[in-house]
Amino acid sequence: MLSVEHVTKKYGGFTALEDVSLTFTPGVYGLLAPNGAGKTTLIKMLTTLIFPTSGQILWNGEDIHALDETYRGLLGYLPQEFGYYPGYTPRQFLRYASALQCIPRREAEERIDRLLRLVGLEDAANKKMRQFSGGMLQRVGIAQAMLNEPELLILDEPTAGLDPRERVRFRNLIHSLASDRTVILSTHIVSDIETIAGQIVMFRDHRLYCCDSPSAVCARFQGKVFEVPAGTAVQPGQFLLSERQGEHGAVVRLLCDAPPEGGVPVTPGLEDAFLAIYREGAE
Amino acid sequence: MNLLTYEWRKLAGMPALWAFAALCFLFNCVLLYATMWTCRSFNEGSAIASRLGQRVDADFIAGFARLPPAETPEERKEQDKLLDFLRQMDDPLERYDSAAIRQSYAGFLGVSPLPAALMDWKLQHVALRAEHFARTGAAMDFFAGPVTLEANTVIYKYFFKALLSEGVVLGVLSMLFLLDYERNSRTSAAVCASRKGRKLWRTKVLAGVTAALALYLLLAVLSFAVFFALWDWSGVWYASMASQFNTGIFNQSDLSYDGYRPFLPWADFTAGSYLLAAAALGAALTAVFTLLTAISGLLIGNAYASALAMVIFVAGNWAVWYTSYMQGCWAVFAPLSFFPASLWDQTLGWFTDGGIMYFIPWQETFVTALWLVLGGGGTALALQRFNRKDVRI
Repeated sequence: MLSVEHVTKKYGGFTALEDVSLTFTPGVYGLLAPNGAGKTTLIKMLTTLIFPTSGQILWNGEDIHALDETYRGLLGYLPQEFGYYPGYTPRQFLRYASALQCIPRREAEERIDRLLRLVGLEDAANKKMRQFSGGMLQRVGIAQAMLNEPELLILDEPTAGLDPRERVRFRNLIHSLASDRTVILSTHIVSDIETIAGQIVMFRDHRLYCCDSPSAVCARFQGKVFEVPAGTAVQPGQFLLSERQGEHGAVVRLLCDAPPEGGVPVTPGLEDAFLAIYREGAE
Repeated sequence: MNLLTYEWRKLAGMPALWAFAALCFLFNCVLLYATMWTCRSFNEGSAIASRLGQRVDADFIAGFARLPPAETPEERKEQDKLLDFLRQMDDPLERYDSAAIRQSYAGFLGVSPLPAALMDWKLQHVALRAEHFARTGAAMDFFAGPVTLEANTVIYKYFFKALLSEGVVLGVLSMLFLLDYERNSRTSAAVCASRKGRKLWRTKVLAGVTAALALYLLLAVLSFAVFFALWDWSGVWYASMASQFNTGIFNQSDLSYDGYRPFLPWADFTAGSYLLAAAALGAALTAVFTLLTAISGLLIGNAYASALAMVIFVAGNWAVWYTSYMQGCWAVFAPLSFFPASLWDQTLGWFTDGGIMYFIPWQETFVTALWLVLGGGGTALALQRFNRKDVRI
């Protein structure tokens, strides 16, 4: 179990995260917030890349910095910007990552073969990575994050650069992995986590806003989201969430406490909740 | 493959490093070519020593007199001049006047009590070495004859300094390249979050130092291979470095302090063992500069800024040291002579009393050892600090 206890991170006078407390148990957690809200700061602290200004992060009751390599040995991490050595092939890169994870050579070779198959790179295993597309590189990144069969898997914007088919494949993969481990997935793409995250963690104004199931997050806006025909003027007290193509032409979704004229109540989705929470001037 | 090998592999994959090393080798070849004027005389002297032995005694002089005359009148004149010198040659170290030299230095450094006291203490040890060499008759070695001083100046003042500079620059570049490699490849985050984590930078430092030593050794071996292909050392390998031909004595009419400063090493170095010792000290100094680069690289975290910091430190150290020497400001000069930049400047005087440049016996060895300890300790502290710092991505 991973516990974040009253963690604050400041850079000089700027507070990136303030007094965040969270507990992660096995399952998939989606960190959902706009860019700059503090997701990556939290992830960097969870991966020991940066140190909290105050508070502590505990793995099974022990400080992760005190645990040092023991903690990192059970951690798998895909950074937001996955760097690689262009002159290496995926196999060579994964061998290097295995050496960094202190995995014995023979065991590493077996895992590398399995992971290359899992991410669909077995045919490109011996090609230089400088020839790879963004999606292929991201798949190498996912493979390196899973090399040590981590108990805690942290993925920062994992689906960036993946095409829809790869994205679905990735979601399925995460789903299958989450049964006996903690997966923390940071994204601002709602659809990535809508179906697979058991808990959604949201930040606002550099503080924890909520940690709840997707349905509970959506339920906060039950009865407050309506669809009206496109072109309907937005009245004071109403907030335009999104515009989409409905069965009878274009419609807009509005957030408001009272039903608008001609408005049809709809069940709010996670995207509606996201837009509602992060609307300008939201308190 | 272990992580150290991976770090070496990263370095080996940098074409600019190999290109620079090749340029260094080319420069050394040009330097050797430019100093070829000593080569013929040196080889002739070495050939004489091969035939007659090193010690100039009655047999040597008789043998020398029987040598076939040189081809040109000018060379014959030089040959005769040398024969005359050999016939009158005695051991100048038997006349070594320690008191006069100490007095002379005291006059020089009088206003700076600590440097003067250190210098006097050193000169007492120098006197003991002079006595020792006078007993062994080391100054009576022929070495390579009259060209010895010029040849050794070429080797130790120019060639060796170039080699050391190249080794240091290659070491500095290797270290900075490795320390900054993950940031440039954008792999810092994944590497630092791995089980090995920031401890990889320990491996990087080790890889940087060993690579610097290997590159220095490679350049030294290649350059000396060319050198030994041109300069025949077969006759001089066992010549004493305290030979009077390793001073300006052949071309000086008197043996006063101003005209003659004997070459008095702290050990009984022969030409060969001195060369090996200088090569070893060069390697150690390369390691010192590479470790200092590791400190600046780890603390600053940016290769360019770290390189600039190193340049400022080394050039600043040398500039102040040299200026204080020129100005006779011994209170400043003395402590700065315990910095590595001064050793780089004084390659010709390593393992000797070093005249005014050195204040204690074995100063170059002491300073190198001191800075190896400081560099190693500083690197350990910098690594410790690096482990407690946020990773810059």
